[in-house]
Amino acid sequence: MTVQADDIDLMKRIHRHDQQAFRLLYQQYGKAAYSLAYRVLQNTAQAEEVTQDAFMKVWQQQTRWDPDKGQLRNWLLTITHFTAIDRLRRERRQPNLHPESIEDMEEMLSSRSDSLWQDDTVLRMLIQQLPAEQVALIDLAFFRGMSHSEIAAETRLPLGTVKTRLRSGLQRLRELWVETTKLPTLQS
Amino acid sequence: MSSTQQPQPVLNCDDLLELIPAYAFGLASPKEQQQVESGLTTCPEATAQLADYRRMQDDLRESVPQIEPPPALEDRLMAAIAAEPPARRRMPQVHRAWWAAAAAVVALVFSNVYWISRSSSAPPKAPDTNSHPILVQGDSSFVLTSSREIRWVRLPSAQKNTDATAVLMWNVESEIGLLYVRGFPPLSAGKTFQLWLTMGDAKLSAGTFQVDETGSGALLFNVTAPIDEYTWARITEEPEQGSSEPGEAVVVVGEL
Repeated sequence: MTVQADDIDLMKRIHRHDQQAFRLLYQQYGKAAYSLAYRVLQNTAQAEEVTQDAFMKVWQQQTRWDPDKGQLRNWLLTITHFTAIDRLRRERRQPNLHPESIEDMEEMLSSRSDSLWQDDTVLRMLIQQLPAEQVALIDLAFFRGMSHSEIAAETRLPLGTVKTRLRSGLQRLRELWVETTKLPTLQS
Repeated sequence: MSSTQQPQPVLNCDDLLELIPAYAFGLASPKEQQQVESGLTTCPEATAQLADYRRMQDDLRESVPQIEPPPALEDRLMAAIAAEPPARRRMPQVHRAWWAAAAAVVALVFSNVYWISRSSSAPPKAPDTNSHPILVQGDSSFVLTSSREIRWVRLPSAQKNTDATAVLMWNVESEIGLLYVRGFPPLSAGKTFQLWLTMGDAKLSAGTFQVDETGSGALLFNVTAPIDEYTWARITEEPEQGSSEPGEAVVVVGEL
């Protein structure tokens, strides 16, 4: 059976409240979910709670996976991501950093780059090709769930500058990503 | 008057493409969101780029450092789901129209003005002197229909010399059902009643419920397949947090 077929079967069992199937789901994807939650929250206790919340949403069927719209792993990580962002907003704090300026943010990101990206991932390689200022803004938007205005307030940059840099950074990242993911050797 | 209340002019493709990154990352204003959603059908490149950003976001989520979660997290998660009453969490998804229809049918039944059609081939006997609107004859189950859309089954007692009885009703092809019980024995401390539906070899829990001092109770449940596809129903007495498999203490049982 393909991975997708296995996942479809697993979720059918979970919908019938098969606890063993649910345990298997956690064993397959719990690490990825916890890692993402920790990346957003930078706090182990909160990452644990968010991971548990995300999996409970699956068990309680607050939302259902549609195999036609993507893989189970991606769906689960999206739930985890949004749950973590919601938690971060409730906590009303930025994890472990209070940069005084965008330069501080850039310096922090470059000094912690080893801890922010998994080794040997395509994205880590691509991110390193972007200007640090754009990487900082992408991090705040995607992993901190900040709006343009919040990023401008956090970095003390003009709103227009934030919008322009973020758009440019995302467009460039997408171009690099598309070029890279189309290469056969990197897709295997 | 908010600008979002007025239809936004459709952007040309180049202008639309400029909005796609912000839209994909949840950064677009309501006005911009509307402009993008209006323009996607006219700009295939924008649709393609949006799909690229979605897949790139999947990769971004995967690209974080991988950290082993604490071993205790798995145990806590499994304990949390074991403590959940099965299927009841989905009650808020019950369609309001069905809920109203179910309540109306229950009211009709217990006002004793309803038609009953017998599913067994055994000859009819005298009505029960308790004037229960659902008649039981021996171990036969009766199917009660209000229309083409609602089905009923009576679940007789699995034990001798008890008055326990249950009525299960559902909409044709629906996954939502209503259970009403009467004459059930009082529950011991730390116990609950649990409804099970059988499909093939599998017995699926449809939820747990309590009864009052008269032995009456009800359960609105939602299962994962049309109830028509299940073959048997039973109610057992279980620990108060519910059980993953039916126990030996069967109160009522019947074929659907």
